[in-house]
Amino acid sequence: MVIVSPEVARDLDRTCVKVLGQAEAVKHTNNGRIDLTYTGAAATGPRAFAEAGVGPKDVDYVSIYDSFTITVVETLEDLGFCEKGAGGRFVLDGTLVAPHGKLPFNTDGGGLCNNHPSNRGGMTKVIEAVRQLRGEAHLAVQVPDCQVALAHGTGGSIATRMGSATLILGTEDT
Amino acid sequence: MTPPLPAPAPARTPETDEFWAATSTGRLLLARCAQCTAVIWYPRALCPDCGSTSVTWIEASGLGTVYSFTVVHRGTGPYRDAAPYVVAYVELAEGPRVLTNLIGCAPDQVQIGQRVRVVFCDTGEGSSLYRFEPAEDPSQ
Ligand SMILES: [Zn+2]
Repeated sequence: MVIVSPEVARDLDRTCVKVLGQAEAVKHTNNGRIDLTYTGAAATGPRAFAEAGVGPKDVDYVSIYDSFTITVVETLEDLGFCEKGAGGRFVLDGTLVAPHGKLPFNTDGGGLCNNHPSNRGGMTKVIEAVRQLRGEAHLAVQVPDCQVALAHGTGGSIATRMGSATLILGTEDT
Repeated sequence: MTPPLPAPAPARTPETDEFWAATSTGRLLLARCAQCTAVIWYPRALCPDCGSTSVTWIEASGLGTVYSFTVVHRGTGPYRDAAPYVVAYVELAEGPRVLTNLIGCAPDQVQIGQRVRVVFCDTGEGSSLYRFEPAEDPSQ
């Protein structure tokens, strides 16, 4: 991944994407008062959206680290794509299916089908989000007119201590 | 019949030596802050709530309830042949949520909110691992 200033980006002959907002946080066991019902995304989501000046409804595509089913469901809730506790219902009926679901998700196949283990989950999430914004995802799953994408990584263990990072990206026109 | 869970000896440090020594006599100690009275978990010489280093030991009642749990169907390392077994968070009566195992109960019988009590599994090296088993329900 190469990050350059807007001045350098102008001279590149490759389609670029913009960093609109980002945030990082750690969550820990809080002196024996761990709460398993939320993740670090509850802290990073609002901050990243505020910096980007967009909200969950503006997101056309998401890459979310998917170590376990519960990781994705909790993260979707914490990022504000649905109400807390409603994640299970939210993903029913094809919500996450690309390209025409309400919130197309992990179109690289995700960790289980494509890139985990042997790759770092966070980086692969960013790569596919960039592909979607460039229109370079696989034809079967390319989201039409994809303008805003979100990538979210979770590290450590959601049962004890974790690090969370949210990155919101947009096309050059955003 | 699943063999009993292995009980590998924990690493002991000056901070936790008294804690582990107590387990070998069947006592579960909790650190408590003398400054702000917070019960501290995991055991350490500093209060993570207020920063005080004035910490004393209290003996836990050993009673608690299941906050959450999962069933491991494929163990690794010393737990390789122990599956299925239960990894749980038990909320102690004194407050802290403690990562532990539930034993003495079929994995498919465990329930969130279930009352449990501490049991000690001897490591053979001067310490015991604190685990939990179902407690009698006094209402029945
Ligand atoms: Zn204190």
